[in-house]
Amino acid sequence: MSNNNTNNAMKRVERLKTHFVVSAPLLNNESSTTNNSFVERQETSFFSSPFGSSKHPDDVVIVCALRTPITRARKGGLKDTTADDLVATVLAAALRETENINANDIGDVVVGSVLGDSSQRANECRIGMFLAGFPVKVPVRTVNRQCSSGLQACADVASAIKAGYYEVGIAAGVETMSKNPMKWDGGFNPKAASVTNAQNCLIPMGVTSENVAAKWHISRETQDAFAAESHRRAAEARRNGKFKSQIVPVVTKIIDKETKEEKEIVVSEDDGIREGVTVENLAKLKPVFKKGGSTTAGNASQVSDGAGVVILCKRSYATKNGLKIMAKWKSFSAVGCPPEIMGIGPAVAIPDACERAGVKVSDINLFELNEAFASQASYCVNHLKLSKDIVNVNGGAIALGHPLGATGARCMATLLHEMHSRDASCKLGVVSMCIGSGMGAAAVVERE
Amino acid sequence: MAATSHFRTPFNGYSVKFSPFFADRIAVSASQNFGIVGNGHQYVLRRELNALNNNNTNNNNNNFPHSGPATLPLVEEARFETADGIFDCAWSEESENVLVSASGDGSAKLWDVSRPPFQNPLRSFNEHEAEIYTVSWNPTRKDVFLTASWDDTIKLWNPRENAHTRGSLKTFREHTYCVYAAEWSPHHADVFASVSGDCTLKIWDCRKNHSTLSIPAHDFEVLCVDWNKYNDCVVATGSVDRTVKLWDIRNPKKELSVLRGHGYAVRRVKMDPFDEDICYTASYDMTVAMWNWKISNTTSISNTLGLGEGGERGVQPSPLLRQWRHHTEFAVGLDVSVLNRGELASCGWDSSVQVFSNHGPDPLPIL
Repeated sequence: MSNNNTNNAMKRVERLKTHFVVSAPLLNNESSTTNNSFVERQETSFFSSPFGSSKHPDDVVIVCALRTPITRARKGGLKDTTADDLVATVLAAALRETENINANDIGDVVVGSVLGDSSQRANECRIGMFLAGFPVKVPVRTVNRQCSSGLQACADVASAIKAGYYEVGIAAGVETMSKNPMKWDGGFNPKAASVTNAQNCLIPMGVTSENVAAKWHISRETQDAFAAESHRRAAEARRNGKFKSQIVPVVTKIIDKETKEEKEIVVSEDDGIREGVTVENLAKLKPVFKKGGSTTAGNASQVSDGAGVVILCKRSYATKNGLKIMAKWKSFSAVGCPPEIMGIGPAVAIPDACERAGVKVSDINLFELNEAFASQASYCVNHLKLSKDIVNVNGGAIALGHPLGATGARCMATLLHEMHSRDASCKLGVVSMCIGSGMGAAAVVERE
Repeated sequence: MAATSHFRTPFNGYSVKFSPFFADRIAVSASQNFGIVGNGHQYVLRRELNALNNNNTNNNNNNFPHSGPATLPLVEEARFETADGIFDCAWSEESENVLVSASGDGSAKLWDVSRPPFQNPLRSFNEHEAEIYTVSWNPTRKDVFLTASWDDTIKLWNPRENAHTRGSLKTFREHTYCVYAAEWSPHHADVFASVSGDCTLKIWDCRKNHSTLSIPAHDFEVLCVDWNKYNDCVVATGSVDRTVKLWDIRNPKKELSVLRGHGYAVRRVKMDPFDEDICYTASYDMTVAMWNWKISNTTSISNTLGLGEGGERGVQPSPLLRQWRHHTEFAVGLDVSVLNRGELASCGWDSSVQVFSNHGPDPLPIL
């Protein structure tokens, strides 16, 4: 009898759901009262009750999120590892982890990459794909939205799934800052001088950090304390093996700087984290970008190598193939801000992404807020009134490093694995970062 | 009179119907857990019209915060409980105390407000194999009603004649998916219209076994239908495609007009009993709207292209006359009083029932 009731209830829910298949404007000249958050509203109020779920077969869900160790550029374990090897490592690991996915089903591989030469990197990604044993029919491309490229890759795959281009896709990110330093080719457009915002796009990132610190009076002590805490948390997490489930060890070679000797190694841990860093140690470092400034090598993100990967698919695909769903992709937003204070990006992007997801910023249980600089990260935490206890609980880029193109995917892996190590009340997570030239990006996910 | 009234049902509202006999009597159907699983309530409410005079002087504490033009109390006169949800109700056209409810378990239940709860329901008509979504009492012949069901059929019942057989008079099988609504024509005793998840509008003569007309009315499921009270050939349909279409059933090739403006599916459509040009809608976008269907979006587009008659280029009169936002969840039930001109009642999943006027103040959301 109760079985019957359940069947009936499910049937009614399915019937009612079909009443919502049309929600986007049908014609150009329509005046629409639809707002983006309504679908989520409807889910929270109706589909989630009385069953406590908001599951729809067309949802985009994440079924896998992994990363390589993040290591110091030119000094760390991956300094001599090529981009294609990093890509191959994470792609192969992702497929191993989700063995029920038929590789032929994968509609696209989108790789976030920032510094590598654009065309060469696209080719390296294709090579990496083949090194990982992918079938020839699966395509690949790169995406570059600076520091959010890895997250943008996730968003691109999610939107392609929503658009119906394919049912399952891979988002990834890679950066080899050892081999591809930040640089500017060619001269500067003199016209930029006449448009302030255009001119300000040329300001070095460290100077934008100083701008944020000066404008909102974020002291050197605050920044150093933030940095020390990042190292403390990351060190503790590494000690407790918290990163194990998200890290894919990289079998690679390393060249000894002195002897030029090449040897095979397995890199399985982040090597930028420093045990025992204190505010006092950090206070000794000299400001790098401005005389009397506050941004130092110690309270800025590290230059690093690494890669990350996230597999997204339609819920119906996950169900059909028995894939374990980690989270539902709820929303994504990229928003611009003044280039000279680009670090405030998360403070504008997070509220926007939350609104699109139909949730309040205060509803979010866990944040991965990229620490480009302690100045901007502190500003964002303060501005959004976030509890420090739920932001970067395992440390951030100041301790772990910031391999630009990989960071978005790295943060997603760190976030989802942390969420799953907690009890079910940890439901909503956000990944966010600031973006050079003045932008912020944020994504909201709901853990399952 | 522009006074508003409100009532809160513990369950989620599904349907509201003005009594055709008493201006102050309103039937409300509600279902637990949004009608997905759980019980149903059939209410009969009374509006205390006399309360208006003394209300403003000594009974202010009874008022809802908006003190403006008075609010009239809406009080429970009867409440009937069912094991499954109730999705719709209809007043008998011949007996002022009798009404019928459409239940999720496939039964139609007949109630008599003048009898105590233990004598109710008077009858339960159990034939449908799935949820009944709407009931319609024949306003002309007065002794029969229709049930539209998710078992893809429509059934015709006479509660008196069949007392001994307890069966329906007839079953209409032609739709290929859930029948969401069937509505009698107010002009012809044997004619009714039905709409379905198979996206069609069908016109029937209940003396015949098959529909006399079948119109592929929308590209998506059609959820509601109503007849114009002045022109016996005009029918309005509301759909998941978010539009209302007006049809002249003599010329089914193309709709008379399309009303756009709702953000989600249109769940109820009602034609005004006092004004040929006016219709009302309730939508999953949580709003209730008032339209002049003779101002069509399509007409206005052709006007702007210089193709239509009248209207200056670029001028687009909107058919949407008024939109109410007092519901905080799906607006599901809607009715127009046949006794008080311009008086409307709506209910929704926010559990609120609101009575208001199309020319009066906006009712406030009940939180």
